[in-house]
Amino acid sequence: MTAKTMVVTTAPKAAVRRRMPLRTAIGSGLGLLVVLTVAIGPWVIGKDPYAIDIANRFAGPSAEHWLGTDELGRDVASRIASGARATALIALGAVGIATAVAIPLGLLTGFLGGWVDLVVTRVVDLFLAIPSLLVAIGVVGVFGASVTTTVLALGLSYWPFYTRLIRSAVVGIRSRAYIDAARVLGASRWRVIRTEILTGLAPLVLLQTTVLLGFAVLDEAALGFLGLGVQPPQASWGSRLAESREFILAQPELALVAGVPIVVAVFAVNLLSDALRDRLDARRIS
Amino acid sequence: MRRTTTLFGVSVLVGASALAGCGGSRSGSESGAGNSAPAVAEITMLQPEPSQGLDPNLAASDASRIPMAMMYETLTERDASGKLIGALAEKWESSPDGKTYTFTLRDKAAFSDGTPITAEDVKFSFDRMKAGEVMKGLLSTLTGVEVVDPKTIRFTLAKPSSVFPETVGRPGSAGILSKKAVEAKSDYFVQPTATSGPWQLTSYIPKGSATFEVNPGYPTPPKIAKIKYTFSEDPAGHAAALESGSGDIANIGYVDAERLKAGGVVQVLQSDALAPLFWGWDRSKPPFSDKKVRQAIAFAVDRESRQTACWSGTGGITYGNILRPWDPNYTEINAYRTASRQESVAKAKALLTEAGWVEGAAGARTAKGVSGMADGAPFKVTVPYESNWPAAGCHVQVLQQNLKEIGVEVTPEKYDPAAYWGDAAKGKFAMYHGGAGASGSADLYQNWFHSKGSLTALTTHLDDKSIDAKIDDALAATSPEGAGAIFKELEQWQADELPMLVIGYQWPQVAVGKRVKNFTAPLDADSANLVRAEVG
Repeated sequence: MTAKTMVVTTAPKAAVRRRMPLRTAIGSGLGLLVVLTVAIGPWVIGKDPYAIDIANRFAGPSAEHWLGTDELGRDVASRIASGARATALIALGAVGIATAVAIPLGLLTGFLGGWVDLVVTRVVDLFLAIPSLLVAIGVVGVFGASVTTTVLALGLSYWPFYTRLIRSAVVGIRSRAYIDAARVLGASRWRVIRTEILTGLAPLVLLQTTVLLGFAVLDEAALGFLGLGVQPPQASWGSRLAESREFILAQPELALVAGVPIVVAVFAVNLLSDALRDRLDARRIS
Repeated sequence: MRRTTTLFGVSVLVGASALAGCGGSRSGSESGAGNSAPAVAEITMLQPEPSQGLDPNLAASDASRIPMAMMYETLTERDASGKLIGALAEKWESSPDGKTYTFTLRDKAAFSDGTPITAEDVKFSFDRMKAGEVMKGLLSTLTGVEVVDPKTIRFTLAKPSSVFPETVGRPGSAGILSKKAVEAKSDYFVQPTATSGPWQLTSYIPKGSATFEVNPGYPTPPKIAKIKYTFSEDPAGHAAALESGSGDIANIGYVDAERLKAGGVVQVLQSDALAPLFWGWDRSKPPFSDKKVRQAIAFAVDRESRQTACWSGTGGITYGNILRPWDPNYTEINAYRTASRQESVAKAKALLTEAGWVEGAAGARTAKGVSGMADGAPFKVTVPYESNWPAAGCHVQVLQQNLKEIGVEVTPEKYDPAAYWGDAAKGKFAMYHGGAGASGSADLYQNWFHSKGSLTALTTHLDDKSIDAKIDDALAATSPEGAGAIFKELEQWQADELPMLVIGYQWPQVAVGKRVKNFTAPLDADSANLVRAEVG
């Protein structure tokens, strides 16, 4: 009897081409536009954002001035591009500060528990009771308005709820079986935190950082609008909004041009963070 | 979502500001129309809240002085042509030596509660002013106030003063108070009653509005019986309210003014006022201790650009004078006028080089042999300005660009308005932006240049005995010509010495709805303009 070997062959499947969801595509496109504005915008436009040209104030869009000129005859496009850098710096700085405070505190309270958790969580609760923009306004009021203060103000207003979030996540991860397994195998606390908990937190941190960036852009705009953000003549998106307010009836296009970049940036960040959430959400993937 | 609502909230705020004053009754409504009740002429004014309060001894800002001028009348005031006339005073006369002034009160003048205004009330008011912060500088030579009879009051001065009748007419600040009413209530100034002005305050809602109704005891009753005084500081919102007809009188922005004027929607009233805009500086130390540096800045400042950019071309400019052409003591000075911008910059650069500020890399100026400065120190100056004054921010940004052309680095600093003038008086600023008003040459030189002047510490910081003596001589001069010669000499001196650099003037600008007739001048001059107005 001869053994028969049956070979089953299958035709190679055509590679499944996963289409990028529309919102991700839009978010990526708008995000890229913002990043390019920040990175090379001032260079591409090639105008001094501070140079005044009184004879040419409130000029409409032209080949010389793509988005026209403002109340002092400054090139609006170059001020938007230059302001993008200030706004990006503030947003990244503020989120950086909040992240730098929230991760260690959240880890400490969530992992250690006990009285450390109790004390820190109560302090966080205290800060959560104060509206974050009010905290930011308070900080600016004490230290004066500048880019540095705005970064500090927003960073300090974000850390409480971010810390809460990290703590909750750590408490959840801490009770997982693989953490117990690591302990049983003799892993030190530091090793558990470093290799197990931090790794588990990474998607959350990535997602929260993205979301916070959108918040920071909006809050910079709000502070700038209130005259508490970046100070003139330096441009930021918020300060452009404030500068255009005086002329909102006579030259409404200035306010429009100042507001559009904020909307675009926040919309892009929101779409991208949604996409990121979908990508990182394990249950959804499974 | 919290962040989404933040921006939305900001948008709502803008909208709400723009609509400020739109609520409530239709402004200027003829209440009672359609029934048998007599029509009440009513208007709505949009003005900042008098946050300094309504005590003339404490409140000096325009926000307080405008409502105070409506409530507290002075002994004298200016008519539509600018001539000094009696307000509560029917007439006045001075002694030959100019040291005694006797005022006779109008017979019919009464407070809003019906009690007559007497010489006792005038004495009480001036004794109070002498002790108060606002008027004590202006009344520093007043040594005695004597009640001659119930309608006659005599003022004795330590030195002759030709401007005393003008001083007692300072709107709001020199208002006559009811002795009985003020002494009866310790919190009288929270909501003053029994007041001497054309209107009386009938309601005050903090952060909201106030209502003024006509004072039946006022000698020349105003035609506008009721004024809703809505607290608002948003010029763009004021323009929108005027445009929609929900406001009648308000300060508006210069860009909006041009637009509304062109559209014929409102009347925009401006007056050529002596309200200098200036750069103050610390002359006690370098760089501004050197006159050449100050003169260099005077050449470098582009006055036309500032006026166009920050005031939409309105307001005056000056190249040396402080006084306005309408002042009898004015003689044109063009010390810093050149044929072109290039020439101005060249002159400024030459003066800086002479002063020891040499041009270095990329045109930046650095010290070389400047007394009190290390060699190589860059010419950098931080210039603060009041954060609640948009035109001031504009001025500093124009200055920054102007001085960049001569290698001087300016850093604008938005400053807390509550602390601004206090810090200016303490000499905290090397250079700063300022603006204030004066009624004429005597008021200007007495209060801005005399060491005891009420505004000297905020403007020129002068403490020069020879200048004091000249001003005293001018004020004591028995003839206008004698005073004029001294004021002209002082005007020439300041143009050369530059204790402060006056670059132009802010012309008070008020937008008035078409229904308001006979309102001829800006509000901050006096309530007399409002008294003459009517709803047509």
